[in-house]
Amino acid sequence: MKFALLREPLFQFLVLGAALFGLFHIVGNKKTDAPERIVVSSARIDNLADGFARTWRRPPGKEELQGLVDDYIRDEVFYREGRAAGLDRDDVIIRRRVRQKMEFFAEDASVPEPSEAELTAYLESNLERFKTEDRLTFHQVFLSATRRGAAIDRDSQQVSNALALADTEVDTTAIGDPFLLGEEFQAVSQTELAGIFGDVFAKRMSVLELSRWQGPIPSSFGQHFVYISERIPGGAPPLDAVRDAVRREWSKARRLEAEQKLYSSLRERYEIVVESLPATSTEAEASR
Amino acid sequence: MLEFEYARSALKNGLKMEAELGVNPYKFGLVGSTDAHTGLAAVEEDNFFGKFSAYEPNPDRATHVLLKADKAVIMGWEQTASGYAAVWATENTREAIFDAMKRRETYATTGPRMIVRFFGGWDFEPSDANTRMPARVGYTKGVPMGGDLSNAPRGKSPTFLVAALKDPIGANLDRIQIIKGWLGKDGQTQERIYDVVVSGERKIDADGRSRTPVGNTVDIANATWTNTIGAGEMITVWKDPDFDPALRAFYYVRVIEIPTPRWTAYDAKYFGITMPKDAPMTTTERAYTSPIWYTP
Repeated sequence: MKFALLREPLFQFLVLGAALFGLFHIVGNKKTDAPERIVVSSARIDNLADGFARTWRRPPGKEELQGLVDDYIRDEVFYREGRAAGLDRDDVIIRRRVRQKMEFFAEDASVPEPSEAELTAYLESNLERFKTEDRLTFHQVFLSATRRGAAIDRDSQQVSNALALADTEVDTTAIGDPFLLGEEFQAVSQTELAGIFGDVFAKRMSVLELSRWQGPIPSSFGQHFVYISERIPGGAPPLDAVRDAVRREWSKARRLEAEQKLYSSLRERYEIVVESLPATSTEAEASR
Repeated sequence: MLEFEYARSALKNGLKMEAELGVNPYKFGLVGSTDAHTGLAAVEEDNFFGKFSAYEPNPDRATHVLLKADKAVIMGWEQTASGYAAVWATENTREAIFDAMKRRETYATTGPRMIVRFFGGWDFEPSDANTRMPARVGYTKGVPMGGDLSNAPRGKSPTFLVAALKDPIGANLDRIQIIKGWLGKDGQTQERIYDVVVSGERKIDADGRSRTPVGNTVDIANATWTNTIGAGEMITVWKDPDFDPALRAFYYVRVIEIPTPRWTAYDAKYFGITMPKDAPMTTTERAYTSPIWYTP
């Protein structure tokens, strides 16, 4: 019982390990090879100073530069020792970063300037992503629920009568109340309308006719009479209207392609062995 | 208010430092944000996904310890479902939005999409609150939120045009306040809150405060409220009644909504649970603007 511990393999391993460590301490101390060199080249120093200047918008002072160099040396010492000790292996952050650098590398392999035909073709085959909403240009007469309270329905009837007589644009500055965002709205989309006036209002606006006063349309602010002077149709835009976005998306698609190509070619070099996958949770549940 | 813990105290300290250093390092604009780590912009009280992906909506999230540090424990229910950054940009482009932030023409909200205007100048008159185009008058006669006033004309006090429009699908407004901070003759910073518009028939006392609460329509059990109190929009012109042209000062606006159910109330109803007794069940959402600074 007393010697059970001595028979434990872990204990034996620890004792042997400690003995080896002690031996190395005595023997290995007489290091024969020269110390590793860390050279901080003048190009490196320039580089450190540039980095500092980008952040602080001025070059570093003497002490600051010394601090940067000291920190670089500290970095290098820990980096080399850490790598030598294998600390870079099986580290999820380092793996992710290295993968990212490989992907950047693939993406960097210069994407050429697209031709007109390529952009047109890309726009046509991805129309859904570039479609635009209808836009409305209108002005309004606003009746404020806050200002008018219970009188709003009666007032609304009067405004309705007055505007019915006006078959063209009338001077409406004498009718209704001020609205914080104004009375005239230029090329506003349905989404923007919903953001300003609420969904109900935006939906009503989408079915109104042009060039005559209509209303009242209720919102949570009160009642609105509107005169829509223009409905700019949305839908498929011409290339010129969305050229920058199409070029950006086209380039992105090319970069992803390049990345996939690099990956495929590299993957070919490997024989891949996947040991049997564990059952997925839904399968596991089903088998229960 | 703990010094160094709040934006207001930083604004006040900025005045003090400016008097000493000749430059105000705390001349910042205000925006709201989520501080969430979920990648979601789900900050409405009735659609709050929490700050961390590990504590998304579930019946226990309010009673979870969210953060434990030397000085404090923060419980799940203490999270606030907020907030948004509002920017007065001349157009919806990256350049225009950055320009607006650079000139601090921004405000923060705790979640509602309120529209808030704030202009300072020397010549706003009460009738400007009835103009058809408040923004046009504001830019013509003054500077917007984030701006600067100086060279006080003899005998004049700064005047402010301030207006707010509620979120189209949100709660009505209780009141608009202007918060003034200044550096006294003795070198000490001071602050004061003025109610400048209140909804309904309530009165603002001679000291600039309205002591009648707006009321509360929140039905906590059902997590609902009604817009039967408060106002949909507010606008006024306010003149600083205690202006001293020799003293540095700043003014910013706070717009306060009527009480609404807090996310804890929506959770309690949805999951059929009882919240810890310390957890607030209602909230008053609000907006804060960037200040307008006066420099002698």
